Amino acid sequence: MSQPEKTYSISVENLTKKFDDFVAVDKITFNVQKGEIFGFLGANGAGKTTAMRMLIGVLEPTSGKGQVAGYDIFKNSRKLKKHIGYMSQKFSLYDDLTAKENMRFFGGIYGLTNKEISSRTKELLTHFGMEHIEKERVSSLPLGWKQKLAFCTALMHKPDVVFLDEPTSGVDPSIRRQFWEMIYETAEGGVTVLVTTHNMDEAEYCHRISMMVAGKMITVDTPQNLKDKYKLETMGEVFLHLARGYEKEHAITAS
Amino acid sequence: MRIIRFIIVKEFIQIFRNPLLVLIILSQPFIQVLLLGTAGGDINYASVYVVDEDLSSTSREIISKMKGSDFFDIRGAALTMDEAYKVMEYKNINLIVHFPPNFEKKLIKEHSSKVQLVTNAIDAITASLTYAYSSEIIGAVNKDVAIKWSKKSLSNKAATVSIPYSYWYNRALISQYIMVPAMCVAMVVMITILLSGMNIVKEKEIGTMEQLNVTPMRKTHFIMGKIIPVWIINIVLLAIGLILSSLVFHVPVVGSLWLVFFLSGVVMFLLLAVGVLISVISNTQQQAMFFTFFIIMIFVIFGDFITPIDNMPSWGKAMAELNPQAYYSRMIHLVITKGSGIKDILPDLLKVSGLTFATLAVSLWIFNKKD
Repeated sequence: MSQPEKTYSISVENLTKKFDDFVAVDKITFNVQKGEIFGFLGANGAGKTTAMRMLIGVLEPTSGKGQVAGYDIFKNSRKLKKHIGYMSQKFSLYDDLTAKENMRFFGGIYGLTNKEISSRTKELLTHFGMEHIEKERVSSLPLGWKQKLAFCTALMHKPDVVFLDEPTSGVDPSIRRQFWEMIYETAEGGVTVLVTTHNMDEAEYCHRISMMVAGKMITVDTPQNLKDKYKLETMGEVFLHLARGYEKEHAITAS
Repeated sequence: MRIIRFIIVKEFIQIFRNPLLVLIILSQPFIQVLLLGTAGGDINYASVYVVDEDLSSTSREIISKMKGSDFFDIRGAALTMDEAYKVMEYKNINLIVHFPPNFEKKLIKEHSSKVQLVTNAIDAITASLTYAYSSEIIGAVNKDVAIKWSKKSLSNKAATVSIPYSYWYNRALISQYIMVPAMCVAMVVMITILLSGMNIVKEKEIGTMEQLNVTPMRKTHFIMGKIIPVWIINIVLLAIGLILSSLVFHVPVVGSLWLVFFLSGVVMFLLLAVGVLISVISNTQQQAMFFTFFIIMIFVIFGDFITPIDNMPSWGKAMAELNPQAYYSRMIHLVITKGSGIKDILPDLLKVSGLTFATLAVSLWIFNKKD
């Protein structure tokens, strides 16, 4: 985290998305370095998912600037998509295919050769200790394993940046822990991870976090700095303090 | 192209992992072609009631001729018409033949007499056939009578013009020659639209579409990968349907069999495009299902299947211009029954291709805009 600006994997400036009159994302600005785990925090409806959808090239921003993995999110959304991985909030692999078939399919979609697909599938499943589920139909896997598999699938094409939209919602603590180990290992390999979450324990695991309230990014810092700054014990308290503080302030200025 | 292949493989795996679906699809040629092809059989039977107030040799001769024919089944006789009407009301009688008093006398004296035929027109087709057959029998007797009673003036009286019918392209009027290919057409139309209509919307519903949108995959590739498996399945179904129609119903294919498959392949792409359009407009499989049934109903009704397009009002004819089933059944009948070549169906093929591209373009536009 000592490198200068050039190694930014994600850099966003005044990025805005309006739906008619409603401003879903309001001039957010932040940078994420290569290999960093960056947390996107915020209540439901704060604009996290909208912001992420702009960064993965499926939603066109209204204004602002943005680069992901070296590609402009306005001009190069198709090229950009080749270099990012995405794991959605809703489980989105094929239930009626096996783990291997899912990885094969998505590898193929990203244009990998058959050889690359085979070696990459083996590599990922072995690396994360999941060889035994290779031939299992996804429908028969427990949710936690499904999520781990979805993560592997998102890594098939060796993306520079992975976006994880609430990856661990609904999974038990032990799987969640394993999942975060996977995230750490991936980030150590130089992959940038952007993760949205509601879970404040998870927020502690991130290198840096950002807080979104009502479409605005109200703070970006390391979890430790935030706790020190507000003299609070946990990220949960920081979250409540910031969210309430912002809402109060906003209510006063509004009235 | 490689990407399309991956999608096709995935689609086939998914289809074959769903045994019920495979069973339903594969049973279609048997159910639709075998069962419905037989069910829509010829009309070869009419029940008759007789009211004979004349009791003459001529009236008896007509009755006995009707008895002798395979088509008529004389169920009984009544003394008055009122009685016969009551029977028609309560029992399933197709025809009442009424000979008024002095029927024969009039015939001899005035060389003309009247028989009343009352047909039960609840079933219009049976009624008109019954009417036609009974007129034929009465006409034949009429001629004999004329010859018998006016021998003196035989030369000019009996010189009647008879009209022998010859139904071209289906001389024996075997309805299955028309019905069975029509059922093949109906089957292909239904399965193609249904499968492709469900296909893309399913990915939306289970959430995989969102994942696919994040990949660099092009939507055209996706659509191609989605429709090609359905196309292959329907070619196989059509082959099964045609084999059955040849083995079981001995329906002759007068034209080229290759042409039948070629034109079917072309029409299938239009049907697939319609399915894609449904899939793209709908957000859930339920919506797509209702949409599909609604559209298939319209296609069938305006599809030259129930009513001939030539008999439709002008707006019906205009609708038929947009109806894949109308093109399909017309071309199939031309090639299978009449033996037409590619030149005869080329205008239709071109129109079908035009409609296909238009439908696909609209679908792609909506698809890109919506998701």
